[in-house]
Amino acid sequence: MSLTSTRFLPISRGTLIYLKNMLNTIERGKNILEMRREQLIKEIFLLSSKLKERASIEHEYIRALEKVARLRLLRGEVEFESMLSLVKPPQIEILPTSIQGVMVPQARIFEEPDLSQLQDPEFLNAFKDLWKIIRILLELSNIEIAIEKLSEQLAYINRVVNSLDKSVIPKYKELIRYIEERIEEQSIDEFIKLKNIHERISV
Amino acid sequence: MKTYLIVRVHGLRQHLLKEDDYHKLIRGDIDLDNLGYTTSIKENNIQELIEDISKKFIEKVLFLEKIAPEYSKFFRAFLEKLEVENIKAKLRYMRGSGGLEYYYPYHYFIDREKFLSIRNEEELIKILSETPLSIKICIDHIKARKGRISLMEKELCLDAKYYEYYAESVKRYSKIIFSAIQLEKILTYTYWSIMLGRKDTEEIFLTINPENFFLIEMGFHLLELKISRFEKYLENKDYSSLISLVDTLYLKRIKRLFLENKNNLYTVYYYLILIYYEMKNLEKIVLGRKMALRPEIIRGTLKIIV
Repeated sequence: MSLTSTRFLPISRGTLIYLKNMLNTIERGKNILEMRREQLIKEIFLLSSKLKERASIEHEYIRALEKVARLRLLRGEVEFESMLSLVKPPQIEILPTSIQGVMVPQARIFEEPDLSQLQDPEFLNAFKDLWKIIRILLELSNIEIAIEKLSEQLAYINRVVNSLDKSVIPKYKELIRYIEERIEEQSIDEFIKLKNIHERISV
Repeated sequence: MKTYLIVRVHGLRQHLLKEDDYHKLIRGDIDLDNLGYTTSIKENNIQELIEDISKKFIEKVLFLEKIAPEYSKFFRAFLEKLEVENIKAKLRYMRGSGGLEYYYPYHYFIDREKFLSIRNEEELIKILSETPLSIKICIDHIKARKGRISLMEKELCLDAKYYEYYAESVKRYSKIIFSAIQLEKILTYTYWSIMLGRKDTEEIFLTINPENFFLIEMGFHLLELKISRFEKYLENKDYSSLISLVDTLYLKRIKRLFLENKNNLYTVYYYLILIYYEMKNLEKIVLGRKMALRPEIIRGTLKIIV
């Protein structure tokens, strides 16, 4: 039930009990969301620590690429292209995976590249080195996308918690206070009415 | 025509690219179209650029053939380097996973359309057996001895056979060029010794021509490279140093031979080697610039014969 719909509720003890129950549920929900927020932060920190190696891996990747590029230059385009045709490229699939209940796309190596036809030791070494680094980079990119998606979820939870904290809960509390006051006024009215009736009967 | 050819070659040498031209090209101060080529590194793709560079190289050799048709066999044998590269590439493509095939624009013994339509190794070997590059005997010999033959062994057979054809094309005209070709053979011998081992390489060279036993020894002697030193590099697996050493010795030797033989046919051979290296250097610069490599990496791969 939205907050605007409470505007049309009758001022009664039943409404008060109903609103108090609602507030209780909202506060419990907020606590759960806060716990989830902490969990996500922990997970993001854990994943971020694995990204520390990125700079050195990138450096190695550039070196491996330069090695391949140098080989391409030395052997010429015709030889390089024909050597490349001997390599069966890897099969990589993107699978949705759940991390802390958040769906994250993760790249998985379905099939390793087949270098068995390649006999030239220089090409073989260069391509093996490059693939070794690409594997690590693939893992790093999986972590990065996981951090990105978890951060999006974290931002969403933060928005919800903030909105509950700053808007929904204070409004409910205000409404409950208003209804309590009105019930109090009504009960005083009732008391005075009863008192007047009692006085008239006794006169 | 021999004298005219030599005089023309001396003139043509003046039009070769200088070291400074290479540096300007690497830096991007000039483009290929400023050097008489029809393509531009900025506008054309790698295939178009390399095709243009190769065509220019082929044109230069065919121009010499036009001047002195009596040496046509030698010029064609020299150009055959490109067709041998194409055949080796074709062998790899047929083993590989398919895709776009890319070759040098030179087809002499096997017509281009026919070459492109070849779909299996047996067919290619059969077609080759009708040319001077027949490697059937060599393949059969290895198969009989080992029971099978690898792709690299086939490529080596082709290289060894090519050098026989190449050396034979000039044997009648010039003993010096014949010796220089034996030096070129040592470059290939070194490369294959690294790839397949010295024993297998030597065996295939001897299967192609038993005289290679002496010719390779002569090549080592001319390069002033001791076989024990060569073997030591192989044992230590110091391959890049070995290739660089043999390359340096080769270039030093052919240059010395040029200084001693400025007025004979050797000048023509030397010019052919220069334009071949020029083509390879331009190919490296084009690839390097297209891959946005650092200028020092590109420069490090160039072979500039001063």
